[in-house]
Parts: sequence; structure tokens; C-alpha cells
Amino acid sequence: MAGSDTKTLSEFVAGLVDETGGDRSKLSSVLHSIQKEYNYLPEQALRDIAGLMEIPITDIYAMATFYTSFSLIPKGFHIVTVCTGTACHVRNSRGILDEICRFLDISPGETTPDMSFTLETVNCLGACAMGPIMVVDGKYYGEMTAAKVPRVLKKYQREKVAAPVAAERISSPAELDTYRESAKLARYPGTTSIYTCAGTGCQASGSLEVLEALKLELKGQGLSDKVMLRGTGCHGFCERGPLVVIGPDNVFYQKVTAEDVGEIVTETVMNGRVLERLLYEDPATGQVARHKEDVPFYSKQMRQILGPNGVLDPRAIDDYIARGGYSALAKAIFDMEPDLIIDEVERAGLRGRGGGGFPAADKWKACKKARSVDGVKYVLCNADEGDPGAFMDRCLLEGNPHSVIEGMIIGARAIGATNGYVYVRNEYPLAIESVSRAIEQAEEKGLLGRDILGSGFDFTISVSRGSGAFVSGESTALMASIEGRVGEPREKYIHTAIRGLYVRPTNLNNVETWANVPLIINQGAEEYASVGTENSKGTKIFSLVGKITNTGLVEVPMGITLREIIYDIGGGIPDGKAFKAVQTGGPSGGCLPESLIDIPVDFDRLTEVGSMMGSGGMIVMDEDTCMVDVARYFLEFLCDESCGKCTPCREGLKQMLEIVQGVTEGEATPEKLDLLEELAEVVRDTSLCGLGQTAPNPVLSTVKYFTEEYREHIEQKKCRAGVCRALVTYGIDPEACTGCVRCMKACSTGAISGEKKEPHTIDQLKCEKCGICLEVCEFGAVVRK
Amino acid sequence: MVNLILDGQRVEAEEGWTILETAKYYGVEIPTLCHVEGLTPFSACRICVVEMRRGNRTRLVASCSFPVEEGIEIKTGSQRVKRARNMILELMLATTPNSRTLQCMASKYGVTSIRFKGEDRDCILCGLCVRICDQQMSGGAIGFARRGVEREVSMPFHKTPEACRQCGACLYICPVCELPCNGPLEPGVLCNACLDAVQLEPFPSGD
Repeated sequence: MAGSDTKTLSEFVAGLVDETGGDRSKLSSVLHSIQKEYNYLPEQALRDIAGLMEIPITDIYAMATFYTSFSLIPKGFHIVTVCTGTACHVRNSRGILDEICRFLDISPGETTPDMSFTLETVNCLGACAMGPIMVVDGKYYGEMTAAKVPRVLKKYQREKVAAPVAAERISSPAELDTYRESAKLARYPGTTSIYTCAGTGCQASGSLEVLEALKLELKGQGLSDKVMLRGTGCHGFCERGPLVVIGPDNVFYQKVTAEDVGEIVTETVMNGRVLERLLYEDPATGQVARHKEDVPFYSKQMRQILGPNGVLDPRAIDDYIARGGYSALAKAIFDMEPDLIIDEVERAGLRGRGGGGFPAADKWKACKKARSVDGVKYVLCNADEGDPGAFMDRCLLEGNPHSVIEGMIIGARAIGATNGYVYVRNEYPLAIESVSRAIEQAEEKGLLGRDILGSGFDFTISVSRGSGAFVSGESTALMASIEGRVGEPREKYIHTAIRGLYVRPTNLNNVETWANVPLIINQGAEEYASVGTENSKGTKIFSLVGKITNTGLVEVPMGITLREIIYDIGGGIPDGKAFKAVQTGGPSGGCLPESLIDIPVDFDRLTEVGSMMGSGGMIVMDEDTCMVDVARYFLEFLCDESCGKCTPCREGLKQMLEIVQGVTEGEATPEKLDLLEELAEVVRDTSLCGLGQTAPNPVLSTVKYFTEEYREHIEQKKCRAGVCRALVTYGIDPEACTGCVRCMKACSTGAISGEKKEPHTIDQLKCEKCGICLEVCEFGAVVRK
Repeated sequence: MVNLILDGQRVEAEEGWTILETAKYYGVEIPTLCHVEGLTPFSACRICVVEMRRGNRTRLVASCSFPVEEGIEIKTGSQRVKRARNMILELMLATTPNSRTLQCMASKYGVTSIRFKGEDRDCILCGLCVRICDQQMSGGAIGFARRGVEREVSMPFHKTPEACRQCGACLYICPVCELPCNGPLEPGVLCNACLDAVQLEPFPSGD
């Protein structure tokens, strides 16, 4: 609390308000600053803001209580966050949460009495490939287990990334070309280069340490000038991080540690010898891959949007320019009329990657045609990637922010927009930093802001930070949120293209959609549309997570089958388990069974079978996942994230959860299942916004494809996956138990007793069924029934 | 003028009218809860949903805020509308049994059982009080707080603000403040006192 020592709270608040110039859209950033400084929002601060900014206190109070990023009660010095996103959930994040609760003796949302720890849950951190994830003060701990909790909680630190920038304005396409040539020479001199993934996933497994070690080693060997070292965005193969790729041959090293660095530099970089032990070996075939493109995970993909992530330093605009960046912008401004740009996007068949798959060109046309009272039109980028289990947009913004910005400027040019916003969720601090820096750099270079590339075209972009609300990704809620109000949807009977942000014509597309735009302009519509199916063109990025061997980000051509993604790229289900379902579309999507695994991935086909493309989360579930529990999980998520405005969504979801909860506890009757379906239909039919209208999908799809499992829970009181705690018991097989006391030590409720080297027993009355005994037993003696 | 079909009849409406306004003009009754003339439409309770056909697609829309369009077809009493309306009423009654307005509606529209887990709350979050305080009384003393299932109408920090003049407009407009004829009722219990007294098919079915 540095500021509070020197300034009073009121002075601090007055200073913040002063900086906003009374602009209400900055209200949330004022609240964020206070929250950061004081760890909570003091009542006096809110009253001061109300007075100074002339905003009703009821509105500010509504915001402070609506968003999860804000707290009205003081928080502890260390913030422990457990991700309860879908991918983490299916990997038992609940067990970790329970263990932390016991360790700290508090419940989620509470602070320890000594104010040292606050425990929070978050609905998805977007680091799904490394799940289950726990974060302490911004430090990610991937692949957590309940057993590791006590050890981890004792250490914590904060990571930081520095931000160097250069400035020189570019004011014509010709100057851009010249600049590109010099950037190429400076940034890619053709000698050896090392690309280390510094995405959130690899950071969780220690890539920043590797990067630092590489820097020191190169310096020590006097190679700093000869070898280009890059900390890049996410390479996608988070499962095998930290990843290091060494050019020009793309030698691909995985699971690299700081200890490996010395050898990498002396052997591979200096002498071109490949270190066999760091290469990827396909667990299925045993084949070793030397180069990135030989790894099956990459070879079946089509990484036209994600590809640059692996070679760009996201902090350097020169890297992007050197690789042809902003050439699409120059083409769109100088060689194309706005209508021609829209026409190109239309012929390319670009559909929104954020969920519904609405044709982008239709939106652009409507927005271009719409009249604005004062000429102001907005172009927005939706980076409120709230679907648990999805993190494509985070990786793009972190790894290649300029592609998104370039897309937005081209869109603005086509539509005739003057102002833009990138709305990023608060759970993505690196993405916010990355895109803010990129905007600044593009402005300095004259690629954004006034008189872009000397063309006379003006367009500015600001970053608007979300505050923790899934529903804010809904278009009207997102706009309300940017305006500094509660992120609550309104009726869209008049489209936002006509009446959107500040009642002006507004066009909203998501991150991935915008990143596709420069590609379309560069390639031309025909080439772009040569990939994909009849009505779904181009590629789609998925985050492939859950019970799958190769977790990570994949980019595939539309029309590929789910089977190819899961088995050829994803490497199938680990530990010899059987595939059960794949969930796409997040809380708006559905769970598809094995019988549908050969359908092509395509907007319309996925909707037909009761799921949807969504933003691209793809969560694989195996025999250990209970489908009723999955439905319960999504309902819980949605009850928490519904804004609560309309009756069917607020009350309907609550009652649906009540029924499904009853099923998981073995207390439901068969009639309840019919009621559940009837209610789900009405919620879908009558809810105000997309959140409620699609909320029944996870329930309806699991009831449809996994009726058997529901019936088992109801009629036989049995959970075949052993997930529903009320329906399982743990026991110890006296034959297999060696009396090693590990389970006894791990059990935090003292339910296990027994002498050393004698078989142990579990007291069923004390057992909370957390399963930690099963996790730690090395002899297979703990049995779950 | 805008031409549309309302429950099978060709009708004309002024440009900018909502479906609800049009229906009212032609004497077709559509029930409402969160809508009162003089306050901005809120589209939250969803009790006023009607079936709207545009081209060959139909969907349910909130009549209180949907502006009429040329050529659309509206059904105010189709099976789909009735099913949705009764389910929403049932959801509200499950948690808020002690509202005369809701209980009377249940009798009128034939809601005769509650199949959901009951509670005894005194608010359906229709937001009428919030809007009348702000829009008609220039008070702005109450607002919504929190979200999802925890959403509530509240005064900031649960303290009566200076802006409150104790005018009582919020109480006046509240649809939940008055007990049903047979009340007070337990959660899950329906009054249904007028069930036999009213016609169960008050609207042309429109099917």
C-alpha cells in the first residue's frame, strides 16, 4: 500500500478521477486502481467517486458488487486463486480447492484472520493445458495435485516482463516497405535464432527461467550479437513446455529446464549437434521428431493464424513488420475501396469466431450503412474470452497482438469507423499488457491514430479492461461495460450495428475473427476460401484440453473431423482410458458422444447436433468423467455468471441446478428428468440474451446423449465414473495395503487409521471422499466403489 | 403505418410502437409484470412473451420492447406462449408465493401446481421500484446489487441514502407487497381461489 502511506484515500481517489477528465468509461479503471492499491474498495472511496464524477452512488455500488474483480471487504496480502474452469474441473480442481481450504482453514472468498491469504476461485484462467491450475500472487502453478498444495503455499513470487520500444513514424506505403527491409535485416539476420515460448502455459512450467538462463549463457559465450534470442508468444503445445525451438532448422526441444541451457548453447547452437534427450518422442509410435514440423501435434495442423506466434517477439513491432505485418493495411487503404474490402471479406466467407458464427461481412455492411448522429462509429474487439477451457484469444493477444490490431484498422476503414476498443477480461493481465503496448507502438509508427500511413484516415483504439463477469462477453453487456456501467445485457431488437456503444453504430468481432482479416486481404478471398467446408471457411483455433495426451492450442482447417483432432493431433486419451465425450462451445455448447466423433468441425454441423463452435474450447472427457457432474458443473458456472436480470435465466437455471444436484446425490425421481427438459426448453425459448438462450445446451445434450448415466444415478444410485461423492465410498484392500502410512498422513480429516506395516482402514463417518488417499497410494490398495 | 398480423387479424400500427402497445390498442390482453407505462421497458420478467413470425422463422420475443415490423405475424396465446408463460409464473411463485399479483395470475392462466423447490422471498427483481425512483421521483436512491442468483434490490451499503425522501413510490408500484386472498401462504402453495371463477382460455389461441 505504497500510495496510502503518502496520500490520504480521498487524495488518491481525487487524483485518479482527475486523470479521467470525468469520462465515465474510465470508471472501471478507477475502481481497478483503488482495488489494486488498497486490495478492496473502501466505502468512502466509492462515495468520493460518486461526488466527483457525478455518477449515482447506486450505479457505482451496482458495479462494485456485480464484478468479481472488485471487493468491498479488505483482502489478504497474498491472493491464492484456484481455477475451476471446465478443463481444471475434469482434472479434479475441486480436490485442490478443498485441500487449500483445509490448509488455510478458510472457505473460498474468505481471508485468513491474520490478513495474509485470501482464497478465491476463478471460472477459467485460460491456462487449461496445464490444469489444474493454482495461482499465488500472479504466479501460475500448473498440474497441481492436492498433495502438492502445502508445499506450494509456502513460496510465492511475482513475474514481470519488461517493455522496450522504439519510435519512428511511417507515413506512406513506400516508407513502410523500406522500414520492413531494415527491420528484416535487424531482426532476422539469417544467423541462428532461438525461440523460447513465453506464453502463460510455458511460464507455468518455468520458461522464464529458461529464457533468462539462455540470455546469460549466450552472453557468457560472447554470442549475444550472433544469435537472436526471442521470448515468443504461445507455441500451442503447452503440455510439453517449456519449449525451445532453434532456427534455422527448427530443432524442437521440449520440457527444457534451466539446467539444459548450457548444453543447448554449446552443442546445438555452436556445433549444430542435436540433443536427443530433449527431442519429442511420440508416445504412440516411439518415433523421435527432430524438427518442429515432424511432431505429429504440429504436422496435422494448419497454423496460418497461430504460426507467427512461434517466431515473433510480441513486444517488438519490428518483428511483425519484418514478417510482412501491416502490408494488408497498406493494401486495404491505398489499393481498395471500403466496399471492396467488405466484398473481399464476404467472398472469403469469414464467419465470427466468437461463438455464433455470424457472417462478418453482413455485420460490417449493416454498420457501414447505419447513420450516426455525429459521424462516430465504433469497431470493437471482444477479448472477453470467458468460456472456461478456452484460451485462443489470450494466446493471440499475448503472442501476436499486431495481427488483431491490423485487422481492426482494416475493418474500421471498411466500415468508416473512427474509434475502437479492445475489451479484455481482467483475468488476462499479460494480454492487456501486450495489446496496450502494441497499440502504443502502432501509434508511434503512424500505423494507428491520426493520418494512418499518410492517407488522411484517422482511427484510434483504446483498451477497456473487464472486471470479472462472463456475461460481459455478450455484445450489449460488453458495450454497457465499456461505457462504465454494469455489464447487463439489453434487448437487441435494434441491432448494435445500428445502435450500439453510446447509441452509435458499432461493429463487434472477436480476437480470432480480427486476426483473420489481414490474412484475407493479403491472400485474397479465393485462396482463403479454398480452405474449409461449404459454409465454414478458413481455419479454426481450438484449445484442446481435458483428458487428452497432447493438450494445447491447435489450428485446423474447418471440416476436419473431431476424431482427427482428438486422436491424430491430440494423441488420444492418456493412461489407456476410454474416450467418453468431447465438449465444445463452453457453457453455451454441448457434450458430444463417441458416436458423433466423425462429424466434420463446421459451424452448422456442430449446432445441428446440439453443441456449437463457440469460441473454440474443446474439452475431452474420459471414462472417469461423470456426465451428470459435467452438467451440474456448467449450471453452477452459469448460475454464478448469469447477470440475474431476466426470470428464466436467473430462476430457471437455479431450479435446473437444484434438479441436477439432486441427481448427483441420488435423490432425484424419474419425473424430475422430464421437468428438467421442459424447463430447459423454456429457458432457451424465453431468456433475454444469448447466455440464457444457450445455457440449457450442456444439460440438454448430456440428457440426450448420456441418458443412461442419468438413469443410473436416479434408479441405481450409482455413479459409474466415481465422481459424485454422495454415491461413492472409499475403502482399503487389506491384501494390497502395505501399511506405508502415506494415505494416513495425507488424509486431513483423520479418517484413516492403522499401524505401520499393517493394513489401514477408513472410517466412513469421517471420510469426506476427497480421494487424496487414492491419489497418494502407490500400491493400488485404495479402492473407490 | 406498419402492417402486421395480430392473432390472425390484419392490423396497422404506428411506426415505433411495441407489440404490447399495438395489442393494447386493439384490445388484446398481454400480461405484464415488469412493465408500467411511464417507465422505460426493462424486458426482464418475460411474462409478456409472444410468438413472432418473420419470414419462415418464429421465436418468442418480449412484447413490451419489441418494435413492430412490416409483415410480422404475432400470436399472443399459442401453445408455445402459454407453456413459456406458465413456466415463468411457476418459477416466480416457487420463490415468491406471497404476492397477490402472482397468485391471481396463476389462477387466471391456470397454473395449478408448483414443481420446484420453494422459498419465501419478497422480491421478483422486476426493477419497477428502481425505475420509478430514478425516472419519476428523481431519487436514484435504490438500485440493483450483486448478480446472478444473488441479485438483489438494495440501497448502497444497505444504508438509507440522503437521496431517499421516503416518498413510498417504490412500495406503491411493487407487485409483490400485497398478500394473496388466502395468504400468508407457505412456499410451494397456490392460492387458486379464483381458479373456477375465471375463463381458462382468456385469449384467442392463435394456433
